[in-house]
Amino acid sequence: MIVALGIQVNAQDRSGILDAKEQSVGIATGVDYSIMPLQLTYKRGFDIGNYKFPFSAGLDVTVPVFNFDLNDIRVRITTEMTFLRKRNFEIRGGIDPVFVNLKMETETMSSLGLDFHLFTGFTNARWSTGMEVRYNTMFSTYIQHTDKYTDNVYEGAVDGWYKNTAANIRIGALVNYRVNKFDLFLRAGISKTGKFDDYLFVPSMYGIIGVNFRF
Amino acid sequence: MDFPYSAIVHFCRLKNLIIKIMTKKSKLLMMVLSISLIITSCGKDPLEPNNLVPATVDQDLSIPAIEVNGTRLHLETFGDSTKPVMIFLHGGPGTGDYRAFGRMLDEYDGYKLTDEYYIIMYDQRGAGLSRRYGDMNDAYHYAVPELTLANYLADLEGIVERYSPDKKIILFGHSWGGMHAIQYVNEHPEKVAGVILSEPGSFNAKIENQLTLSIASTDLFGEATNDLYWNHQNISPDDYQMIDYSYMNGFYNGLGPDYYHFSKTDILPVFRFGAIASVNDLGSDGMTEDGTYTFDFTTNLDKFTTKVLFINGDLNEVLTPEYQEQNRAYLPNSEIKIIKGVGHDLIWIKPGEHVKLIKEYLDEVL
Repeated sequence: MIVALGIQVNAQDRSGILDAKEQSVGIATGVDYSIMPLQLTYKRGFDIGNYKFPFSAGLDVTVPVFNFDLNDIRVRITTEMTFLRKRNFEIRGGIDPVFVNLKMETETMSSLGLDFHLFTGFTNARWSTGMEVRYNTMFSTYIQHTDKYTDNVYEGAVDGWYKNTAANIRIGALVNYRVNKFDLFLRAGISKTGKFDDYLFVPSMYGIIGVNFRF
Repeated sequence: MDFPYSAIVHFCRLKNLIIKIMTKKSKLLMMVLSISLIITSCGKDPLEPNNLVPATVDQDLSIPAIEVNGTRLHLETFGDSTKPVMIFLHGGPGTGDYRAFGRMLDEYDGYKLTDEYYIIMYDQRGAGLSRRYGDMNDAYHYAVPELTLANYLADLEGIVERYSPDKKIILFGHSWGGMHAIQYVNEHPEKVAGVILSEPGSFNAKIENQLTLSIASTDLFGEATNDLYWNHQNISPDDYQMIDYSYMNGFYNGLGPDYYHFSKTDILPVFRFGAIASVNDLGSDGMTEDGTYTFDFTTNLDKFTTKVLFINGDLNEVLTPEYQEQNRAYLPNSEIKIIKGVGHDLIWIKPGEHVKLIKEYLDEVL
Protein backbone atom coordinates (compact mmCIF):
# COMPACT_ATOMS: atom_id res chain seq x y z
CA MET A 1 0.00 0.00 0.00
CA ILE A 2 2.76 2.39 0.99
CA VAL A 3 4.74 1.47 -2.15
CA ALA A 4 1.62 1.91 -4.32
CA LEU A 5 1.10 5.37 -2.97
CA GLY A 6 4.72 6.18 -3.72
CA ILE A 7 5.34 7.29 -0.20
CA GLN A 8 8.76 6.49 1.05
CA VAL A 9 9.09 6.24 4.77
CA ASN A 10 12.59 6.84 5.98
CA ALA A 11 13.24 5.70 9.51
CA GLN A 12 15.83 8.42 9.88
CA ASP A 13 13.47 11.33 9.01
CA ARG A 14 14.32 14.07 11.41
CA SER A 15 13.43 17.70 11.67
CA GLY A 16 16.21 19.93 10.43
CA ILE A 17 18.50 17.12 9.36
CA LEU A 18 19.00 16.03 5.79
CA ASP A 19 19.22 12.40 4.83
CA ALA A 20 21.92 11.18 2.49
CA LYS A 21 21.52 12.66 -1.00
CA GLU A 22 18.75 14.91 0.17
CA GLN A 23 19.24 18.58 -0.68
CA SER A 24 17.78 21.81 0.60
CA VAL A 25 17.75 25.47 -0.23
CA GLY A 26 16.80 28.10 2.27
CA ILE A 27 16.38 31.72 3.10
CA ALA A 28 16.70 33.47 6.42
CA THR A 29 16.91 36.87 8.05
CA GLY A 30 16.91 38.48 11.46
CA VAL A 31 19.67 39.97 13.59
CA ASP A 32 22.92 38.41 12.49
CA TYR A 33 25.77 40.92 12.70
CA SER A 34 23.37 43.16 10.85
CA ILE A 35 19.74 44.14 11.09
CA MET A 36 17.67 42.05 8.68
CA PRO A 37 20.45 40.64 6.50
CA LEU A 38 19.59 38.23 3.71
CA GLN A 39 20.95 34.72 4.07
CA LEU A 40 20.70 32.13 1.29
CA THR A 41 21.71 28.55 1.94
CA TYR A 42 22.21 25.32 0.06
CA LYS A 43 22.85 21.99 1.79
CA ARG A 44 23.25 18.39 0.73
CA GLY A 45 23.25 15.22 2.77
CA PHE A 46 25.98 12.62 2.41
CA ASP A 47 26.76 9.12 3.51
CA ILE A 48 30.18 8.65 5.03
CA GLY A 49 31.13 5.04 4.63
CA ASN A 50 29.59 2.96 7.35
CA TYR A 51 28.98 5.89 9.66
CA LYS A 52 25.44 5.45 10.80
CA PHE A 53 24.49 9.12 11.06
CA PRO A 54 24.02 11.58 8.21
CA PHE A 55 26.51 14.25 7.33
CA SER A 56 25.60 17.40 5.48
CA ALA A 57 27.60 20.09 3.81
CA GLY A 58 26.66 23.19 1.94
CA LEU A 59 27.11 26.86 1.42
CA ASP A 60 25.53 29.92 2.91
CA VAL A 61 25.89 33.46 1.75
CA THR A 62 24.78 36.39 3.87
CA VAL A 63 24.63 40.03 2.91
CA PRO A 64 23.31 43.04 4.82
CA VAL A 65 20.41 44.44 2.83
CA PHE A 66 20.39 48.07 3.91
CA ASN A 67 22.44 49.97 1.38
CA PHE A 68 22.93 46.66 -0.39
CA ASP A 69 26.52 46.20 -1.41
CA LEU A 70 28.20 42.92 -2.29
CA ASN A 71 31.43 44.23 -0.77
CA ASP A 72 29.80 43.42 2.57
CA ILE A 73 29.34 39.67 2.44
CA ARG A 74 29.83 36.48 4.43
CA VAL A 75 30.39 33.14 2.71
CA ARG A 76 30.46 30.01 4.79
CA ILE A 77 30.98 26.39 3.84
CA THR A 78 28.62 24.66 6.22
CA THR A 79 29.17 21.22 7.69
CA GLU A 80 27.14 19.22 10.15
CA MET A 81 27.49 15.75 11.56
CA THR A 82 25.59 13.95 14.27
CA PHE A 83 27.99 12.66 16.91
CA LEU A 84 25.62 11.06 19.31
CA ARG A 85 22.02 9.94 19.14
CA LYS A 86 20.13 8.23 21.90
CA ARG A 87 16.49 7.91 20.97
CA ASN A 88 15.52 11.53 20.34
CA PHE A 89 18.43 13.14 22.14
CA GLU A 90 21.33 14.08 19.96
CA ILE A 91 24.52 16.04 19.76
CA ARG A 92 25.59 17.35 16.42
CA GLY A 93 27.93 19.98 15.14
CA GLY A 94 30.47 21.01 12.60
CA ILE A 95 33.34 23.22 11.62
CA ASP A 96 32.64 25.75 8.89
CA PRO A 97 35.30 27.67 7.01
CA VAL A 98 34.12 31.25 6.70
CA PHE A 99 35.03 34.37 4.75
CA VAL A 100 33.76 37.82 5.76
CA ASN A 101 34.29 40.98 3.76
CA LEU A 102 33.43 44.53 4.75
CA LYS A 103 34.04 47.73 2.87
CA MET A 104 33.68 51.03 4.72
CA GLU A 105 34.70 54.60 4.07
CA THR A 106 37.79 54.15 6.23
CA GLU A 107 38.98 50.67 5.26
CA THR A 108 38.20 47.34 3.67
CA MET A 109 38.55 44.17 5.71
CA SER A 110 38.63 40.62 4.39
CA SER A 111 38.70 37.90 7.01
CA LEU A 112 39.23 34.16 6.89
CA GLY A 113 38.32 31.92 9.77
CA LEU A 114 36.50 28.97 11.17
CA ASP A 115 33.09 28.68 12.77
CA PHE A 116 32.74 25.87 15.32
CA HIS A 117 29.19 24.92 16.27
CA LEU A 118 27.51 22.39 18.47
CA PHE A 119 23.86 21.54 19.08
CA THR A 120 22.49 19.45 21.91
CA GLY A 121 18.84 18.76 22.15
CA PHE A 122 15.92 16.69 21.08
CA THR A 123 15.03 15.87 17.54
CA ASN A 124 12.20 13.84 16.12
CA ALA A 125 10.41 13.77 12.80
CA ARG A 126 8.68 17.07 13.38
CA TRP A 127 10.60 19.04 16.00
CA SER A 128 14.18 19.79 16.80
CA THR A 129 14.78 21.90 19.89
CA GLY A 130 17.81 22.48 21.97
CA MET A 131 20.76 24.63 22.77
CA GLU A 132 23.40 25.69 20.32
CA VAL A 133 26.83 27.08 20.92
CA ARG A 134 28.82 28.70 18.18
CA TYR A 135 32.37 30.01 18.34
CA ASN A 136 33.96 31.68 15.37
CA THR A 137 37.46 32.94 15.07
CA MET A 138 39.03 34.95 12.30
CA PHE A 139 42.58 33.72 11.84
CA SER A 140 43.57 36.25 9.25
CA THR A 141 42.20 39.59 8.16
CA TYR A 142 43.51 41.70 5.34
CA ILE A 143 43.01 45.38 6.13
CA GLN A 144 43.46 48.15 3.63
CA HIS A 145 42.91 51.74 4.80
CA THR A 146 41.56 54.57 2.71
CA ASP A 147 42.72 58.17 2.58
CA LYS A 148 39.84 59.08 4.85
CA TYR A 149 41.48 57.13 7.66
CA THR A 150 45.10 58.00 6.95
CA ASP A 151 44.40 61.71 6.37
CA ASN A 152 42.09 62.28 9.33
CA VAL A 153 43.13 59.74 11.93
CA TYR A 154 46.40 57.94 11.50
CA GLU A 155 48.68 58.36 8.50
CA GLY A 156 50.94 55.59 9.77
CA ALA A 157 48.22 52.92 9.58
CA VAL A 158 49.72 49.69 8.31
CA ASP A 159 47.88 47.80 5.58
CA GLY A 160 48.25 44.07 5.26
CA TRP A 161 47.42 40.76 6.88
CA TYR A 162 46.61 40.71 10.57
CA LYS A 163 46.30 37.58 12.66
CA ASN A 164 43.56 36.57 15.07
CA THR A 165 41.59 39.77 14.75
CA ALA A 166 38.22 38.57 15.92
CA ALA A 167 36.38 35.92 17.84
CA ASN A 168 32.70 35.68 18.67
CA ILE A 169 30.66 33.39 20.87
CA ARG A 170 26.97 32.66 20.49
CA ILE A 171 24.89 30.76 22.97
CA GLY A 172 21.24 30.30 22.35
CA ALA A 173 18.31 28.17 21.41
CA LEU A 174 17.47 26.52 18.14
CA VAL A 175 13.97 25.43 17.24
CA ASN A 176 13.19 23.69 14.00
CA TYR A 177 9.71 22.64 12.90
CA ARG A 178 9.22 20.40 9.91
CA VAL A 179 6.14 20.57 7.72
CA ASN A 180 6.33 18.19 4.75
CA LYS A 181 9.34 19.40 2.78
CA PHE A 182 9.80 22.61 4.74
CA ASP A 183 11.93 23.18 7.80
CA LEU A 184 11.00 26.34 9.62
CA PHE A 185 13.62 27.42 12.09
CA LEU A 186 14.34 30.03 14.69
CA ARG A 187 17.66 30.50 16.43
CA ALA A 188 18.23 33.20 19.02
CA GLY A 189 20.44 34.02 21.93
CA ILE A 190 23.34 36.12 23.12
CA SER A 191 26.25 37.03 20.89
CA LYS A 192 29.44 38.44 22.37
CA THR A 193 33.11 38.78 21.62
CA GLY A 194 35.47 35.91 22.25
CA LYS A 195 36.33 37.46 25.61
CA PHE A 196 32.63 37.66 26.35
CA ASP A 197 32.50 41.43 26.09
CA ASP A 198 29.48 43.26 24.74
CA TYR A 199 29.47 44.72 21.27
CA LEU A 200 29.97 48.42 20.66
CA PHE A 201 26.72 50.33 20.14
CA VAL A 202 24.80 47.35 18.78
CA PRO A 203 22.85 44.61 20.55
CA SER A 204 24.87 41.67 21.86
CA MET A 205 22.37 39.22 20.53
CA TYR A 206 21.33 37.24 17.50
CA GLY A 207 17.95 36.14 16.24
CA ILE A 208 17.52 34.39 12.92
CA ILE A 209 14.31 33.10 11.39
CA GLY A 210 14.19 31.16 8.18
CA VAL A 211 12.92 28.31 6.10
CA ASN A 212 14.62 25.50 4.20
CA PHE A 213 13.01 23.55 1.40
CA ARG A 214 14.08 19.95 0.88
CA PHE A 215 14.16 18.24 -2.45
CA MET B 1 42.89 -11.78 33.24
CA ASP B 2 44.94 -10.11 35.95
CA PHE B 3 44.11 -6.47 36.45
CA PRO B 4 47.32 -4.88 35.18
CA TYR B 5 47.35 -7.07 32.05
CA SER B 6 43.65 -6.41 31.34
CA ALA B 7 44.20 -2.70 31.73
CA ILE B 8 47.03 -2.79 29.21
CA VAL B 9 44.92 -4.76 26.75
CA HIS B 10 42.00 -2.38 27.06
CA PHE B 11 44.30 0.60 26.69
CA CYS B 12 45.84 -0.83 23.53
CA ARG B 13 42.44 -1.58 22.07
CA LEU B 14 41.24 1.95 22.83
CA LYS B 15 44.39 3.44 21.38
CA ASN B 16 44.02 1.41 18.20
CA LEU B 17 40.37 2.39 17.93
CA ILE B 18 41.21 6.07 18.28
CA ILE B 19 43.92 5.78 15.63
CA LYS B 20 41.51 3.92 13.36
CA ILE B 21 38.81 6.55 13.81
CA MET B 22 41.26 9.40 13.32
CA THR B 23 42.77 7.81 10.28
CA LYS B 24 39.41 7.25 8.68
CA LYS B 25 37.46 10.27 9.68
CA SER B 26 39.72 13.07 10.79
CA LYS B 27 42.23 13.50 8.00
CA LEU B 28 40.27 16.42 6.60
CA LEU B 29 39.82 17.90 10.06
CA MET B 30 43.53 17.62 10.82
CA MET B 31 44.35 19.21 7.50
CA VAL B 32 42.00 22.10 8.16
CA LEU B 33 43.39 22.61 11.65
CA SER B 34 46.97 22.44 10.39
CA ILE B 35 46.29 25.02 7.74
CA SER B 36 44.57 27.16 10.34
CA LEU B 37 47.55 26.95 12.66
CA ILE B 38 49.85 27.96 9.83
CA ILE B 39 47.65 30.90 8.93
CA THR B 40 47.40 32.09 12.53
CA SER B 41 51.17 32.26 12.84
CA CYS B 42 51.36 34.67 9.92
CA GLY B 43 50.33 38.30 9.82
CA LYS B 44 50.77 41.38 11.93
CA ASP B 45 49.55 41.64 15.47
CA PRO B 46 46.52 43.97 15.56
CA LEU B 47 47.23 44.71 19.21
CA GLU B 48 50.66 46.08 18.50
CA PRO B 49 50.79 49.86 18.85
CA ASN B 50 51.26 51.87 15.67
CA ASN B 51 49.73 49.24 13.41
CA LEU B 52 46.05 50.16 13.28
CA VAL B 53 46.08 53.04 15.75
CA PRO B 54 48.96 55.15 17.03
CA ALA B 55 50.64 54.30 20.29
CA THR B 56 49.68 56.11 23.47
CA VAL B 57 52.23 57.94 25.59
CA ASP B 58 52.69 54.98 27.93
CA GLN B 59 53.38 52.70 24.96
CA ASP B 60 55.80 55.09 23.26
CA LEU B 61 57.82 57.17 25.67
CA SER B 62 59.13 59.37 22.86
CA ILE B 63 55.73 61.05 22.40
CA PRO B 64 55.64 64.47 24.16
CA ALA B 65 54.02 63.95 27.52
CA ILE B 66 53.66 65.08 31.09
CA GLU B 67 53.33 63.05 34.27
CA VAL B 68 50.66 64.58 36.47
CA ASN B 69 48.17 63.35 39.05
CA GLY B 70 49.40 59.79 38.67
CA THR B 71 48.80 59.64 34.94
CA ARG B 72 50.73 60.31 31.74
CA LEU B 73 49.17 62.78 29.34
CA HIS B 74 50.04 63.63 25.76
CA LEU B 75 50.96 67.33 25.92
CA GLU B 76 52.69 69.89 23.79
CA THR B 77 53.57 73.51 24.30
CA PHE B 78 53.89 76.20 21.67
CA GLY B 79 55.52 79.61 21.86
CA ASP B 80 57.46 81.49 24.49
CA SER B 81 57.13 80.13 28.04
CA THR B 82 57.52 83.62 29.50
CA LYS B 83 54.24 84.77 27.97
CA PRO B 84 50.80 84.30 29.61
CA VAL B 85 49.66 80.70 29.55
CA MET B 86 46.63 79.67 27.46
CA ILE B 87 45.43 76.10 27.94
CA PHE B 88 43.27 74.41 25.30
CA LEU B 89 40.67 71.88 26.47
CA HIS B 90 39.31 69.56 23.77
CA GLY B 91 35.85 68.06 23.44
CA GLY B 92 34.56 64.61 24.27
CA PRO B 93 35.09 63.14 26.67
CA GLY B 94 37.01 60.61 24.63
CA THR B 95 35.80 61.47 21.14
CA GLY B 96 38.11 64.44 20.68
CA ASP B 97 41.69 65.41 21.26
CA TYR B 98 43.87 68.44 20.68
CA ARG B 99 44.61 67.60 17.06
CA ALA B 100 41.37 69.46 16.30
CA PHE B 101 43.00 72.70 17.51
CA GLY B 102 45.88 72.43 15.08
CA ARG B 103 44.72 75.17 12.75
CA MET B 104 44.34 77.65 15.59
CA LEU B 105 48.12 77.86 15.84
CA ASP B 106 48.38 79.19 12.29
CA GLU B 107 48.82 82.80 11.34
CA TYR B 108 45.77 84.83 10.31
CA ASP B 109 46.03 88.38 9.02
CA GLY B 110 49.58 88.61 10.25
CA TYR B 111 48.76 87.41 13.76
CA LYS B 112 49.08 84.12 15.56
CA LEU B 113 48.23 83.26 19.15
CA THR B 114 51.79 82.32 19.99
CA ASP B 115 52.78 85.95 19.33
CA GLU B 116 51.27 86.81 22.69
CA TYR B 117 50.58 83.58 24.57
CA TYR B 118 52.26 80.38 25.64
CA ILE B 119 49.93 77.73 24.30
CA ILE B 120 49.46 74.41 26.05
CA MET B 121 47.50 71.67 24.38
CA TYR B 122 47.00 68.25 25.91
CA ASP B 123 44.88 65.13 25.49
CA GLN B 124 42.77 64.46 28.56
CA ARG B 125 43.18 61.11 30.28
CA GLY B 126 41.70 58.25 28.28
CA ALA B 127 41.62 60.36 25.09
CA GLY B 128 43.89 61.05 22.16
CA LEU B 129 47.33 59.66 22.82
CA SER B 130 47.07 59.85 26.60
CA ARG B 131 47.04 56.74 28.74
CA ARG B 132 43.99 54.50 28.56
CA TYR B 133 41.96 53.29 31.52
CA GLY B 134 39.15 50.93 32.35
CA ASP B 135 37.08 48.50 30.37
CA MET B 136 33.83 48.70 28.44
CA ASN B 137 31.83 46.88 31.08
CA ASP B 138 32.57 49.65 33.58
CA ALA B 139 32.19 52.30 30.92
CA TYR B 140 28.65 51.16 30.07
CA HIS B 141 27.84 51.82 33.73
CA TYR B 142 29.69 55.17 33.71
CA ALA B 143 31.91 53.72 36.40
CA VAL B 144 35.51 53.59 35.22
CA PRO B 145 37.33 54.43 38.48
CA GLU B 146 40.09 56.52 36.90
CA LEU B 147 37.85 58.50 34.55
CA THR B 148 36.02 60.84 36.87
CA LEU B 149 35.34 64.56 36.93
CA ALA B 150 37.55 64.81 39.99
CA ASN B 151 40.46 63.29 38.08
CA TYR B 152 39.92 65.44 35.00
CA LEU B 153 40.00 68.49 37.30
CA ALA B 154 43.04 67.30 39.20
CA ASP B 155 44.91 66.74 35.94
CA LEU B 156 44.19 70.30 34.85
CA GLU B 157 45.14 71.64 38.27
CA GLY B 158 48.44 69.81 37.97
CA ILE B 159 49.11 71.30 34.54
CA VAL B 160 48.31 74.80 35.78
CA GLU B 161 50.61 74.26 38.75
CA ARG B 162 53.36 73.07 36.43
CA TYR B 163 53.19 75.83 33.84
CA SER B 164 51.70 78.83 35.62
CA PRO B 165 51.91 78.42 39.38
CA ASP B 166 52.02 82.12 40.14
CA LYS B 167 50.15 83.77 37.31
CA LYS B 168 46.57 83.58 36.12
CA ILE B 169 45.85 81.45 33.09
CA ILE B 170 43.56 81.70 30.09
CA LEU B 171 41.32 78.78 29.25
CA PHE B 172 39.93 77.87 25.83
CA GLY B 173 37.44 75.02 25.77
CA HIS B 174 35.43 73.40 22.98
CA SER B 175 32.26 71.39 23.68
CA TRP B 176 32.99 69.18 26.72
CA GLY B 177 36.26 71.14 26.95
CA GLY B 178 34.15 74.23 27.56
CA MET B 179 32.38 72.45 30.41
CA HIS B 180 35.76 71.36 31.74
CA ALA B 181 36.99 74.94 31.61
CA ILE B 182 33.99 76.13 33.59
CA GLN B 183 34.56 73.28 36.04
CA TYR B 184 38.01 74.73 36.71
CA VAL B 185 36.71 78.31 36.88
CA ASN B 186 34.07 77.18 39.39
CA GLU B 187 36.80 75.73 41.63
CA HIS B 188 39.49 78.36 41.08
CA PRO B 189 37.99 81.62 39.87
CA GLU B 190 40.97 83.50 41.28
CA LYS B 191 43.40 81.67 38.99
CA VAL B 192 41.72 82.51 35.68
CA ALA B 193 42.35 85.65 33.67
CA GLY B 194 40.05 84.88 30.76
CA VAL B 195 37.77 82.15 29.40
CA ILE B 196 36.75 81.46 25.82
CA LEU B 197 34.13 78.78 25.28
CA SER B 198 33.46 77.41 21.81
CA GLU B 199 30.03 75.78 21.77
CA PRO B 200 30.36 74.49 25.32
CA GLY B 201 28.08 71.82 26.67
CA SER B 202 25.90 72.22 29.74
CA PHE B 203 27.28 73.80 32.88
CA ASN B 204 25.15 71.60 35.14
CA ALA B 205 22.92 68.55 35.22
CA LYS B 206 19.74 70.58 35.23
CA ILE B 207 20.52 71.88 31.76
CA GLU B 208 22.07 68.64 30.47
CA ASN B 209 19.21 66.37 31.52
CA GLN B 210 16.84 68.39 29.38
CA LEU B 211 18.76 67.56 26.24
CA THR B 212 17.07 64.74 24.36
CA LEU B 213 19.67 64.21 21.66
CA SER B 214 22.83 62.26 22.36
CA ILE B 215 26.28 62.38 20.87
CA ALA B 216 25.88 59.14 18.94
CA SER B 217 22.90 58.24 16.88
CA THR B 218 22.29 54.57 16.27
CA ASP B 219 19.85 54.27 13.44
CA LEU B 220 19.46 50.50 13.53
CA PHE B 221 18.58 50.40 9.85
CA GLY B 222 21.29 52.78 8.73
CA GLU B 223 24.39 51.71 6.86
CA ALA B 224 26.74 53.02 9.54
CA THR B 225 25.17 50.93 12.27
CA ASN B 226 25.08 47.85 10.08
CA ASP B 227 28.71 48.30 9.07
CA LEU B 228 29.69 48.59 12.73
CA TYR B 229 27.69 45.46 13.53
CA TRP B 230 29.12 43.53 10.56
CA ASN B 231 32.60 44.68 11.57
CA HIS B 232 32.40 42.66 14.78
CA GLN B 233 33.09 39.60 12.63
CA ASN B 234 36.36 41.12 11.41
CA ILE B 235 37.53 42.97 14.52
CA SER B 236 36.71 42.16 18.13
CA PRO B 237 36.67 45.23 20.39
CA ASP B 238 38.39 43.38 23.22
CA ASP B 239 41.22 45.70 24.19
CA TYR B 240 42.21 49.34 23.94
CA GLN B 241 43.65 49.24 20.43
CA MET B 242 40.75 47.35 18.94
CA ILE B 243 38.07 49.19 20.90
CA ASP B 244 39.39 52.58 19.79
CA TYR B 245 39.81 51.32 16.22
CA SER B 246 36.26 49.94 16.06
CA TYR B 247 34.86 53.07 17.68
CA MET B 248 36.57 55.31 15.16
CA ASN B 249 35.32 53.11 12.34
CA GLY B 250 31.81 53.72 13.57
CA PHE B 251 32.10 57.48 13.78
CA TYR B 252 34.11 58.02 10.63
CA ASN B 253 31.66 55.86 8.73
CA GLY B 254 28.65 57.93 9.61
CA LEU B 255 27.62 56.94 13.11
CA GLY B 256 27.84 60.50 14.38
CA PRO B 257 24.66 62.58 14.63
CA ASP B 258 23.64 64.87 11.80
CA TYR B 259 22.33 67.58 14.09
CA TYR B 260 25.85 68.75 14.92
CA HIS B 261 26.41 69.43 11.20
CA PHE B 262 30.03 68.36 10.98
CA SER B 263 31.62 69.03 7.61
CA LYS B 264 31.64 65.97 5.36
CA THR B 265 34.46 67.22 3.19
CA ASP B 266 36.86 68.86 5.63
CA ILE B 267 36.77 66.26 8.34
CA LEU B 268 37.60 67.04 11.96
CA PRO B 269 40.73 64.99 12.67
CA VAL B 270 41.77 63.12 15.79
CA PHE B 271 44.94 61.45 16.95
CA ARG B 272 42.91 58.55 18.26
CA PHE B 273 39.46 58.13 19.78
CA GLY B 274 39.26 57.14 23.42
CA ALA B 275 36.30 54.80 23.24
CA ILE B 276 36.13 53.91 26.91
CA ALA B 277 36.35 57.53 28.00
CA SER B 278 33.63 58.37 25.54
CA VAL B 279 31.22 55.67 26.65
CA ASN B 280 32.04 56.42 30.30
CA ASP B 281 30.90 60.01 29.65
CA LEU B 282 31.19 62.16 32.80
CA GLY B 283 31.76 59.19 35.06
CA SER B 284 30.53 58.13 38.43
CA ASP B 285 30.83 61.57 40.04
CA GLY B 286 28.98 63.25 37.19
CA MET B 287 26.10 60.90 36.59
CA THR B 288 24.26 57.92 37.97
CA GLU B 289 24.48 54.41 36.61
CA ASP B 290 21.23 54.87 34.68
CA GLY B 291 22.65 57.85 32.80
CA THR B 292 21.06 60.69 34.75
CA TYR B 293 23.45 63.56 35.11
CA THR B 294 24.27 64.92 38.57
CA PHE B 295 27.19 67.29 37.99
CA ASP B 296 27.14 70.99 38.83
CA PHE B 297 29.85 73.42 37.73
CA THR B 298 27.84 76.50 38.67
CA THR B 299 28.00 76.64 42.46
CA ASN B 300 30.69 79.31 42.53
CA LEU B 301 30.47 80.94 39.13
CA ASP B 302 29.07 84.15 40.53
CA LYS B 303 32.58 84.78 41.93
CA PHE B 304 34.02 85.00 38.43
CA THR B 305 33.27 88.53 37.34
CA THR B 306 35.61 88.68 34.32
CA LYS B 307 33.71 88.59 31.04
CA VAL B 308 33.49 85.13 29.46
CA LEU B 309 33.41 84.86 25.68
CA PHE B 310 31.06 82.32 24.06
CA ILE B 311 31.63 81.47 20.41
CA ASN B 312 28.85 79.62 18.63
CA GLY B 313 28.13 78.44 15.12
CA ASP B 314 24.68 78.86 13.63
CA LEU B 315 24.17 75.32 12.29
CA ASN B 316 24.33 73.25 15.46
CA GLU B 317 20.79 72.11 16.25
CA VAL B 318 21.52 71.24 19.89
CA LEU B 319 24.07 73.67 21.30
CA THR B 320 22.35 76.70 19.85
CA PRO B 321 22.87 80.33 20.90
CA GLU B 322 19.50 80.06 22.62
CA TYR B 323 20.69 76.99 24.52
CA GLN B 324 23.82 78.90 25.58
CA GLU B 325 21.61 81.47 27.30
CA GLN B 326 20.99 78.83 29.99
CA ASN B 327 24.74 78.59 30.61
CA ARG B 328 25.30 82.31 30.41
CA ALA B 329 22.68 82.87 33.10
CA TYR B 330 25.18 81.57 35.69
CA LEU B 331 27.88 84.04 34.74
CA PRO B 332 27.81 87.66 35.93
CA ASN B 333 29.47 88.82 32.72
CA SER B 334 29.48 87.14 29.33
CA GLU B 335 29.17 87.80 25.64
CA ILE B 336 28.31 85.54 22.70
CA LYS B 337 29.66 85.81 19.18
CA ILE B 338 28.15 83.87 16.31
CA ILE B 339 30.15 82.46 13.41
CA LYS B 340 27.93 81.79 10.45
CA GLY B 341 27.83 78.72 8.28
CA VAL B 342 29.45 76.24 10.63
CA GLY B 343 28.50 73.33 12.86
CA HIS B 344 30.09 71.84 15.94
CA ASP B 345 33.45 71.44 14.20
CA LEU B 346 33.79 75.23 14.14
CA ILE B 347 37.25 75.13 15.71
CA TRP B 348 38.51 73.23 12.66
CA ILE B 349 36.44 74.89 9.95
CA LYS B 350 36.68 78.49 11.18
CA PRO B 351 39.99 78.73 13.06
CA GLY B 352 40.82 82.19 11.75
CA GLU B 353 37.54 83.58 13.06
CA HIS B 354 38.31 82.03 16.43
CA VAL B 355 41.78 83.55 16.57
CA LYS B 356 40.40 86.98 15.68
CA LEU B 357 37.69 86.78 18.35
CA ILE B 358 40.12 85.48 20.96
CA LYS B 359 42.53 88.34 20.28
CA GLU B 360 39.79 90.94 20.50
CA TYR B 361 38.47 89.43 23.72
CA LEU B 362 41.82 89.10 25.44
CA ASP B 363 42.89 92.60 24.38
CA GLU B 364 39.80 93.76 26.23
CA VAL B 365 39.92 91.69 29.44
CA LEU B 366 43.65 91.46 30.12
